[in-house]
Amino acid sequence: MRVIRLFKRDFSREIDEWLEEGLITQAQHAGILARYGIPPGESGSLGYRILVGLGLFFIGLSLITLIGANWDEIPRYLRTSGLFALTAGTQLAGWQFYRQGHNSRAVGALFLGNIFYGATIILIAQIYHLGEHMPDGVYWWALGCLPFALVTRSLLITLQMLLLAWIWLLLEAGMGYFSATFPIFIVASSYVLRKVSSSMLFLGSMLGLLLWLEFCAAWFWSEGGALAFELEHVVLTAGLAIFATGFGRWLMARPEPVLKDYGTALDVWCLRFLVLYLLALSFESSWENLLGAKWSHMASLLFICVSLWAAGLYLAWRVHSHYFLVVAGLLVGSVLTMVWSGVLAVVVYQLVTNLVVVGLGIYLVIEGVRSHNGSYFWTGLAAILFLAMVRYIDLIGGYVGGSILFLLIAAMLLGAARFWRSLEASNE
Amino acid sequence: MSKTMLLLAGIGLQMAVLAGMLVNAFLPLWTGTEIRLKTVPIDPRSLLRGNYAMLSYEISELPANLLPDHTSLRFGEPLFVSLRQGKEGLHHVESVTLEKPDEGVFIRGRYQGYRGSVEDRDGQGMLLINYGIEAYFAPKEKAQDLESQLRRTGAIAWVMVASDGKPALESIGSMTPGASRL
Repeated sequence: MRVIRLFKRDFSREIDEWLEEGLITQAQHAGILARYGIPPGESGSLGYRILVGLGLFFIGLSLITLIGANWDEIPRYLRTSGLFALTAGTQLAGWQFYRQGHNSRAVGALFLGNIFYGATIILIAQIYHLGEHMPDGVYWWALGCLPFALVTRSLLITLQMLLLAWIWLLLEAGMGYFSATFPIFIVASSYVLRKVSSSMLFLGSMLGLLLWLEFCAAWFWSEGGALAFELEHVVLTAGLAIFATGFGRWLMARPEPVLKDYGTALDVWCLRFLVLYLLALSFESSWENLLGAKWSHMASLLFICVSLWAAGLYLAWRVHSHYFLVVAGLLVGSVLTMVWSGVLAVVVYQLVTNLVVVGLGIYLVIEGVRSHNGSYFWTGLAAILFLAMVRYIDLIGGYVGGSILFLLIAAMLLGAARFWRSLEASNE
Repeated sequence: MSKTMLLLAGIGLQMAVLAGMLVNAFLPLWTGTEIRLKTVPIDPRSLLRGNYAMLSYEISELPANLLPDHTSLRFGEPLFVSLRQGKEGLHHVESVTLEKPDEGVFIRGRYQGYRGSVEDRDGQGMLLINYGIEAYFAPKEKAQDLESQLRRTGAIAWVMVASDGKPALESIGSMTPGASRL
């Protein structure tokens, strides 16, 4: 049975009540908590912590907005020294709380101090008209948060650091630069994850790492120029998705509950990504671009992708995941047809992709119902309905072609329903 | 080292970063040589940093034939633009080099791309260069007034250049003779 993070809190409350009502003993209560990796007292203060975190965030945002007003009336030195004092004072208050053992207060003060620190960077840039490479300011902001994340191992501060690192990564890439040192933030997050379990932090780190690998390839292929995102990245993304799916499946098979949680979260997001990826390939123009592409980096692309596929497949094979073979088959099939261009007409590739989306949708709906997994069920249903809407607007082969496609989809759905009924009958 | 000391070191790091930024921003203003550049303001808004007039300089786009090695330029590579003062007091480009010049007034920029025919790179195109002095921060109304006023009259930027070529924008003003800095 999969128990996702948010449901765990409800579950924790439920078993607390069982204990109060005498349905289970203290030892059984502790045993159930341990089985699902729920720390004792988990049910309590999430709402409070989220509200406090948001409150502190808005205090910081208020200051940054005020700075945005460019108050010329206040002398430079007063504005600068005021923010220096505010940053240092808030951080020292956090330090004092930490020394006294008030960890929650310390984290709140340090989180706010980090926002003031960023506001001071912004103010210095504003006062001295610094226009030189704005992402550098965000980098120093993220780097300034890093020691606090490592020392306190607080989820809030680590998420703050990671969010800033993400902004820096995307700003640099948007301007054509490669952020070579981004992995230090991933390493810091991983260190914190050894103590704090958080699917959000895990996913943020994992996706950040995958995105950074995409940018590595863009940097490698651009031969030192501005990062350029070519069609090769469509194939590379498929390779990274396969690896991430395999890794997620491997984590799900680990005995530790927290690793199971991470694996489940990664698996669900990989699945959603897979559906979106295939939906993007369900358009004629996507296949026209892919089949007409001149692949400038074929050798390195294939080497990277084959390595990623091999690593992902090996991880899934280790845990005997047959589901993963379905995903891998779909993606590898898509990717191979991309590089094997000019043999069949574009419409054939498009048609096959559409049918694959429907097939995947049906599989997910059935698997979702069978294993009581809402994520599978709704993702599958959304894939089928979204495809129907898109194809109604963007017909394949005119009205007749569109009509035939809808008939084919109907036949697949009805066939799947019949199979489902016969399966249920045989179970009974 | 205990955790509280590490935390204190973290606070020290933040303060050191802020102080470094401040000194870096101040240095050309303290030690630099003043130059005057022709500029054109445009008015965007930075989500993070408030309102500013974005400045485009005469030296932001330079003929590629000023730099024989321009075909091997890498994105973001530093360039040094030597300047000479014209009769009207404004500074204009004299030469562009990849090495820091030994003498004269020069400004350091970064290569941002090539405008023109990419295939032949025959020197007829333009090198796009960023100097880090392209933003002039001002309150929203002032930034808009600056843009409309300076577009009419033409604008000058007063820039201080440190000995290593690093520039700092000091102020901007109208090109109208006798007009003061804003």
